[in-house]
Amino acid sequence: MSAKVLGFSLGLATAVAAQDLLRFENGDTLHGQLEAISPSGSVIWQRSDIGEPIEFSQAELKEIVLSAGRPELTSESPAMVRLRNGDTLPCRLGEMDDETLKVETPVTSSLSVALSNIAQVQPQPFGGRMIYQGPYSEDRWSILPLEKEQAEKVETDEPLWALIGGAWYSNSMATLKGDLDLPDRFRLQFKLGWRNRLQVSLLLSTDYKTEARKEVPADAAQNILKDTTRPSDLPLRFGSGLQCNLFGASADLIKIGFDDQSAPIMKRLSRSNLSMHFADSGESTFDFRIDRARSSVLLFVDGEFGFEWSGEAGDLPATGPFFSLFSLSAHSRVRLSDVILTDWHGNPDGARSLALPDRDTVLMTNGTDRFAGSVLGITDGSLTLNTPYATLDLPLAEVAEINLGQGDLLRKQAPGERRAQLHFRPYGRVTGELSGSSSGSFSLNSDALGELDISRAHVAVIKFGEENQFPTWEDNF
Amino acid sequence: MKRLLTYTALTLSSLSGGIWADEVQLRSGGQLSGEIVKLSDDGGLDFSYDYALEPLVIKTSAVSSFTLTPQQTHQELAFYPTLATLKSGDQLSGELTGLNAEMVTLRNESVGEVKLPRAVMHSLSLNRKEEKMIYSGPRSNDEWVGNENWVYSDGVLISEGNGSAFQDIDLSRNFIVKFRYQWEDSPNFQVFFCDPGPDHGRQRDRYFFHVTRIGMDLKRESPGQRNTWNTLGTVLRRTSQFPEKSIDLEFRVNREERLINVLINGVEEGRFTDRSAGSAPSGGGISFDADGGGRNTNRISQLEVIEWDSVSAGHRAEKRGDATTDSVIDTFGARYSGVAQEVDFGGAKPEVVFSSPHSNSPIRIPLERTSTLFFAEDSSESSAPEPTYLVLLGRYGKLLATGVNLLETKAIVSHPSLGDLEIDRSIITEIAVKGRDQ
Repeated sequence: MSAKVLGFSLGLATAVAAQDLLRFENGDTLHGQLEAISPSGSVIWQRSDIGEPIEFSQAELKEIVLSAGRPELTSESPAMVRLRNGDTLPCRLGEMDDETLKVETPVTSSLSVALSNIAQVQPQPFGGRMIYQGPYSEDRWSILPLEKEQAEKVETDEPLWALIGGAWYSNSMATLKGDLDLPDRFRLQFKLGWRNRLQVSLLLSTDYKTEARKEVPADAAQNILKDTTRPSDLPLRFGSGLQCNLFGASADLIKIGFDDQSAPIMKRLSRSNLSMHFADSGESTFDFRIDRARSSVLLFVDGEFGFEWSGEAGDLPATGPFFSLFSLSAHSRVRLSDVILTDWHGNPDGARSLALPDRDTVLMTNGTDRFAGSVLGITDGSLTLNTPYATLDLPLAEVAEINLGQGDLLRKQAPGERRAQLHFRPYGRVTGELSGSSSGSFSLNSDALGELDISRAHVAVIKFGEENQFPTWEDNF
Repeated sequence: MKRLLTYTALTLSSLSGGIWADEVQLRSGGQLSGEIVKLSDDGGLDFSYDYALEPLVIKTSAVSSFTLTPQQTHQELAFYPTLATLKSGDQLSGELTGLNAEMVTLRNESVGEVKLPRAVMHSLSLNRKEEKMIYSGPRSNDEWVGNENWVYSDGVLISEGNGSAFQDIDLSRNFIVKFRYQWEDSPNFQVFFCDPGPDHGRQRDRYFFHVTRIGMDLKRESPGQRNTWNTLGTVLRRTSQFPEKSIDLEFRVNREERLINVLINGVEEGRFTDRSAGSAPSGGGISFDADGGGRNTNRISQLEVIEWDSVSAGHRAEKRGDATTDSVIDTFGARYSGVAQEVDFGGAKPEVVFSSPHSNSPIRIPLERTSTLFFAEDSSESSAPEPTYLVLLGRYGKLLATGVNLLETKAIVSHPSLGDLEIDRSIITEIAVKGRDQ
């Protein structure tokens, strides 16, 4: 690692209070403050215990976590644009003609984006009403004390769960309980990181109504699913709801609750071998779509289909408002972040069957309607689409996705290509050449958008180098 | 569980020459030969029995089945690309001759013209492709190559030890394969499909379904990939749940979308997606593999492979969505909600005239580009009488009935919503009687 002590400061970090973290390609880490990006692209780093700033080449760096991953401002926006290089731009949609789309984005100034660079426009990126987004604070979250059996396995004085940089980190098998107000039909997305193998139990729509319930009688083992989870008194801890246990390559879906005599019962609804295999350490985005009335549960992992279960009406227990999770192993750790809870239209089919090369396609928020043709433009909050049968005027408020053509949706970064990716919270990313900074912003020559000034207050992480790096695990801020 | 299983099956077929030789199997174990005259809505079966002076009236609850000899095979019947599905689950295929604000009209050579009130309609499936039988067997020992320890006997392929048998069936891009699997002792059996052919001891790019005592898995074998055996899905059934040691397995394979539906005894057990890298395996063969020791015997019978119109089936199986509106899906997969006003047969080509909230004027979709039409649900209570029978019409569909009057060449099927339908008796393959507890 080469470092050079500088005699100047660009003043970028003056307004930043929280610590930043530098992670090098070789795994080393360094706390401090990102002082600036020099015009040549070098990273200028400041530490209080070192008199002068230090300069690093981007080629030596893996990533910079700014403000402990918890930026001053969120990128929350009503819409999102996905570019052909995979970047996502949170924004408010403006007018669109046959060449460009105008957007206002909180992370930089207003933009006019060439349609040729856009793969997808999402006027309603989450398909429904936003109910919860976080965790940015401990509000609505609580940590349950360890069960006696669990406490015996814990050998740490560290907090059972810690909220660091917009993510909850577990240090034990204790339960993290989120009062998220889960409705009857919802879509719950979150990122889950893990170390020492994925072994986690998720409790969905539980009600924590455990008062006046009977203890598990010794002779009632037949009521408890023997080979699912331990301990088997889960209904006594969480009440009624759904439990989903995730392992390296499989998922169990279990209904927990009580019978007519208030005795705890657990019934496995499905055991699915997932098509994806999780490494010993990693991070994935989990996307549950649950419709209690229709007794339907869908799971997508990193955008891929995980499993689907559907039963008869009444198979799912009454809905509780809580989402909880705990590690099933005293040795594994989990991290929860980027939780987004929205309403869900309840129709999983979407546009699965609508794949027309060279045509624009539009998916509506009702989850069923979709059209193919040529997008003529957006004006006054309405999308005009020319289909083979008619010209349609579609209210943007009812449009979930506009796919422009069906070309290469994601262009993977070429091996060896050196680019910086600026990530925002809770979502959004732009990629390009990071070539400087000024007061409160970074200068980025974006692959798709040209020269940009990106607001530092929105940036959570800057990643360098190739994609598909191992996810970071930073709980030591 | 599919509703059909709540009915006791009565199998019908017909003798040539217009003479009906029906066999009635009684639940008590007896068997009578004669002619079924009528199945009435009071649960009586009028049966003309040669040795009785008067026609017998038998309670249908006492009947387990009855059969006739086929007059013509259903493959000989005309194929109609339009299939109407009623809210009751009834289905009838025919030629679409009309659709307006009140009625859907179908014409079928064996049923005549049938007027279906929109209030009873669930959907119309249009432009279906005929699902052709690719293979029916097993037929002989010779058709199976690389054959190890499997022998053919009287329509059944029987394993007599560990080993495999392969046949290149020239599977279509999307297909259905189904067969009856029977075992003795403890099952350990695999069926491979999209199999490129025997290559002894070497892995091949193919799908397979593995049945063992403790469970059933659908997998993809992918030589050269990081995970050679990738589990696509698990069926949560144990073979101990089938004490008769026999199951009807069915796989609906859509190689284009890499979706595989697994059905056991006619009930869908899972819809699994192949997320492996690359495309679906391209092989055209099927092979069976017996494992688990020489004493275990496996039997394969009633093997059928059918070319599958997966696109039409996929559209038909879509979630209904907002049931207060009509919904139309075109053959490319686009879907519109609104009101299906009519089918206009006046132009050069018939068109579905559909009003959409997103278009000022009605949309006109060529009928030949229309895949599926869902009808808005009528919230009014049905006053139709409860059916007693389910009449199966082979490739023409199925109808519920309160009574069935079997005449020499015709059958009068009393439908709860459509009234009396006069249909060609020869197309009835089965009549199921509602169980006493249903």
